[in-house]
Amino acid sequence: MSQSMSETVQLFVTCIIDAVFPQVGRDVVEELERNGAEVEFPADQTCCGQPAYNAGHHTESTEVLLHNLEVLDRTSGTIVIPSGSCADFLIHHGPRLASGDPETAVMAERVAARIREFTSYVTEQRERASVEGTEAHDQPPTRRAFYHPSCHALRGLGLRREGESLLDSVTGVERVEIEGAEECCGFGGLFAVEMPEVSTGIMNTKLDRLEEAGVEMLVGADAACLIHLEGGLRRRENPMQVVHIASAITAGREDRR
Amino acid sequence: MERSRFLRTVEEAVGAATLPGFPALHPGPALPELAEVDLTPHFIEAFELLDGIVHHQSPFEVISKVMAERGAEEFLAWDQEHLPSDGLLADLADVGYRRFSTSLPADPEGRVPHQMGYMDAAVGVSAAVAAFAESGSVVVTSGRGRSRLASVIPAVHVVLVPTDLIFRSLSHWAAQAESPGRLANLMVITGPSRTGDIELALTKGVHGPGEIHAVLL
Amino acid sequence: MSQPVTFRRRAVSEMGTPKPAAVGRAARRFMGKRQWAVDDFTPMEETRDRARMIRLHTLANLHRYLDQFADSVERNGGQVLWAADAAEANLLIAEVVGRKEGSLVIKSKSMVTEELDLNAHLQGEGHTVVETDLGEFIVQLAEDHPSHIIAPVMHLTRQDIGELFHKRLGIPYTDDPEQLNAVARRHLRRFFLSADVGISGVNTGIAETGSIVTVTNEGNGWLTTAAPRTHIAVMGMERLVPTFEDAATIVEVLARSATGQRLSVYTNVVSGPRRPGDPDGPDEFLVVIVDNGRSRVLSTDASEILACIRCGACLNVCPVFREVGGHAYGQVYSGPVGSVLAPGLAEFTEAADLPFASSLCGACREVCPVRIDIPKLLVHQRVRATRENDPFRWLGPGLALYGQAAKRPRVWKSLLAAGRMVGRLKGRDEWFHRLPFHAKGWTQSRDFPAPARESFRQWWKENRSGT
Repeated sequence: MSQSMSETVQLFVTCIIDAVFPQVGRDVVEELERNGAEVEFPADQTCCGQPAYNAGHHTESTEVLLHNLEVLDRTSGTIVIPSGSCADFLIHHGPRLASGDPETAVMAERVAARIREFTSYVTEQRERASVEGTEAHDQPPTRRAFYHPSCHALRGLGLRREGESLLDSVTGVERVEIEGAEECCGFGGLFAVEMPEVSTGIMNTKLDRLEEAGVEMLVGADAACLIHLEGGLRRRENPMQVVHIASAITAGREDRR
Repeated sequence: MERSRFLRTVEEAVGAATLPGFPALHPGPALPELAEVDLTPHFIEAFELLDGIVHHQSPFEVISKVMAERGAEEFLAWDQEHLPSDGLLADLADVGYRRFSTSLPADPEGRVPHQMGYMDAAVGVSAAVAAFAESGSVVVTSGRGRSRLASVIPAVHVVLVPTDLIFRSLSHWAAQAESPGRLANLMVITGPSRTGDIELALTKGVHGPGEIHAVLL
Repeated sequence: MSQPVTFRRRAVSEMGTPKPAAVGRAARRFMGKRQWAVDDFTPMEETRDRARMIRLHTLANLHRYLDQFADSVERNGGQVLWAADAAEANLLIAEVVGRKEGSLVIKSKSMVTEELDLNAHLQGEGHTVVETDLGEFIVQLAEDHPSHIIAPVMHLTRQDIGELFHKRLGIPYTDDPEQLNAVARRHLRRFFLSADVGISGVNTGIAETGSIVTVTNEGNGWLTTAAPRTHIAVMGMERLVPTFEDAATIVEVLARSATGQRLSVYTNVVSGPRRPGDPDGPDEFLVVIVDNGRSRVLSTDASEILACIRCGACLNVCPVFREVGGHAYGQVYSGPVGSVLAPGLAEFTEAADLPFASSLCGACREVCPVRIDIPKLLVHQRVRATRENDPFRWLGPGLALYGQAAKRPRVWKSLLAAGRMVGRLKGRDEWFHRLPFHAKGWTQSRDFPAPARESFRQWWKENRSGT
């Protein structure tokens, strides 16, 4: 492992952040650079292929996957993905989907080995450099925040503590627990439109618990879950703030809000 | 269907199966090596956790007391030679308790009328051939002079447990026990009969005994 | 012809009743009970690994172990009958039961006989069939179906059951579980002692010893196999292990996983009819081994699901199951395991939408005592569904377009540009309240964000890119 101050990091930004929440992508870049990374963005990346995979359309999924693996394989350095779900897909399902051909199988393993989910990467960088998250402002916590661990980060990659400790480092935030914290939010990709009533039922359970716990700020590392929950909160006219962890740590640092 | 045709279909399916780690190996016997410990206290703790009642008095005292508490006259029991307590049945007979015969009549038609007679038996007495410290279980078996229904029909089951037959767990015992194929029935009993079927509310004594007493020997 | 999305329809109708709320509460409480005591002599992770290996090994050699099992049963004085499907199984069982006209049959809980719809078949032939598991007894009184592998009446409240007993058994209304239980005990006792035939399921068969193992907490399983003259054990063909020691591992894992017990109250090992000299027990013992679609499942991508030991933990932890209850699945097996198994056991088309009844959250995989990768198998079944009878055919064109665009960066970029146009037109609010066509499912209950006016890649190109 190189200890040099500038490690090259390839950002696989995910299609949702690219198209819908570009500010999250910019916050990711800011945080990576603050940790001493030289960020590159392979311009030909598109989407990891998971939507078609989950829908059972594996021909389409594999083609999309292989395109992106090729794009990433042409680069070097750690690949950081600000989504547990996309990272889990590329790490755990990619090699299986690409296994039809020995060469692509090797490539998929090679790429998978370079991938790190954002919270896990930042946590490791901070630990290595003993970086404190935020310059401590002496102000009492003001907002009650819940960190939604997201199923694929949690159960696919074994991550939860990482995101939570990043949130703990944000000034002005008190992290709270809710009942059933590790339960699904009901998103599930196309599941949300294939079985909208069931998806909504699961979401409402989650939203009820967030409301019961008096959560004012919902933080997560998967934009897809956050869209889903924010979409539901807006219908409830609940003003809870919904923020990606990358934005929470950069905003917290600069006291931008 | 013919056995051979059935098995051929299965064999073909096995050939086409997509099992992870195929061909899967049998794990073989693998139990952790453990330091010698006195298992009796473990057994007592686990048995009581299940609301089982442990006794250190003699079987005669325990059974007499249980019978008297219930105003019962009849009990079911294994034959004396399979109960590790000399003269127990004779002593119980001496104080007026009747043992109901658990041997089915030779005529198959006599089975039902005979078994209906068990309805009134309040207490059943049998003996453990093994017990497990981890789970607080006792093992009873069928065999000559060993009625199965004696342990399951009455509302109260009194089981005699020689402490030298306490093993760590079912797995530890199974690793060294005789093949169960030799006996028509082997039963591992872990606490009183219970159910959670109604709103997961735990209630005892559904079909089997609601009370189980272990008399340690 | 696309077929109606029946799971969704059933789910919506179930969600309109109080049942799912009862299921959700019970399932969560169930999970709370489920834990492995740290001071056990049985180490959790190692034992789960061992159980998984035993099951996979057995499946990989299933024909050999079935052969050995049949030999062993016969050596013990029992008889083995082979049934390719439900019809044959019912026929074989009815033949044995029908040796006496109007037989009284008692049953302990068996999911495979639910598959066969055995009760209806036997009743149709003039026999009386009494379910003895308290939950199954309630199901039978209510003329309902079980909603959970382990807890058949998870969908009913104590008040529902009180009403039912009041109406059907003519007792004064009570909703006290203790009293309801006592009523059932009294009611069923005479059936146990006077039945002609006892029919049990099999939790696990043991190839080496020819034994069948049933686990119950109530004691009905033991009575069913000990009191009647004839005992028929109905076994799904995959429910085998090689040795007694293996069976011990399975029941230790099963009890912990199903109900948080170290062992179920009654772990019953039956090896043949009563032996000479035995004071009681059945005079005859028959095992009916049932395929009924299992060899079909075994030969597909979903083989691994047959390693299931039917603990029900994946149901309890599943957010979809908790929301809709077992009946929404419309099949004998519900929840995650049912969503993989049911479309495989039946003609696939019948339950082709069940594999989609999951958010793929992975909670089932985490909790499965034999570590079955259920989400992966659900996706395998989805692939099959899209090929054979796609319940979401309308997604096809969209996914084809996605597939074409997402492998061509330039096409992808123009798609993103089109998205930005929509974002610009959208105006100040930036969230849609209504979307057209099938996407309206989303906006039934959720707003959907409009694409940003400037994508991340655009920003990168203008601000950070060297080129």
